[in-house]
Amino acid sequence: MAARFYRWLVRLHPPAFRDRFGAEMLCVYTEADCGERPRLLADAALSLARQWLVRSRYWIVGGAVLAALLQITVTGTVWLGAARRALTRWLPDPALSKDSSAQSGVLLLGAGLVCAVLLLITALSSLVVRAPRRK
Amino acid sequence: MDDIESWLPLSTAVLHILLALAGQERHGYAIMTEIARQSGGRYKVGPGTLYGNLDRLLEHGLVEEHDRRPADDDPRRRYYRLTKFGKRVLNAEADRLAQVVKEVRTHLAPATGRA
Repeated sequence: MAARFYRWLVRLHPPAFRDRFGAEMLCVYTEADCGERPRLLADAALSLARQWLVRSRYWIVGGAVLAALLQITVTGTVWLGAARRALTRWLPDPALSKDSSAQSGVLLLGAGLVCAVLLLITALSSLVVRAPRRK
Repeated sequence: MDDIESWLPLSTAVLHILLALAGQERHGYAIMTEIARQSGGRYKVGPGTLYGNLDRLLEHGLVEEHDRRPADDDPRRRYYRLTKFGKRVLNAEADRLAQVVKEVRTHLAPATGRA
């Protein structure tokens, strides 16, 4: 049971690390004394968090996404208010300017375009941030 | 990270890993047992910590994989050894630690004398 859990923890490591050291980690586990194994399980769990969060640099992408969400929330609130006022003033058809569903459609389209651009920037930055791996 | 100074001071795990490989090439489990022996059992590393650090040491050329292995060995095992650069880093850390010990002795000596 514990051995299966250990294998599962090793399997959850980032692919590059798992392919390079996974078999060796399992080999060490089978060689270790039974008394050592609980410590090896804890070590594998810590290693899992460390490899995903620190070494793989995914935390940078996560931070960028959080920062982007914060910006969207703050500036989006301001932008929506301003855009709604501008639409009411500039729409050529007075009937259309009073139609809140038409306004919402235009705003949704704009918001969708902004989100698409932000997603594209996040995806591109994640490609740039990922450091070149050895061999 | 390709100059010696940028590695100093070494973390406890890296210092012990380099020290374990200083004498001879070893596989992962042998490195772990050697570290436990060196520290009198007071410091132990698990495979996650060991291979996480080995990954970095291999990447920066302090340690390299060694092809030679006993014929009847477990094929999953890989052997590692110190490179020349790794030896230089370990020597620099030993010099740094010697300086620290010297400082400690200098500062503790008068107090010990007074006691």
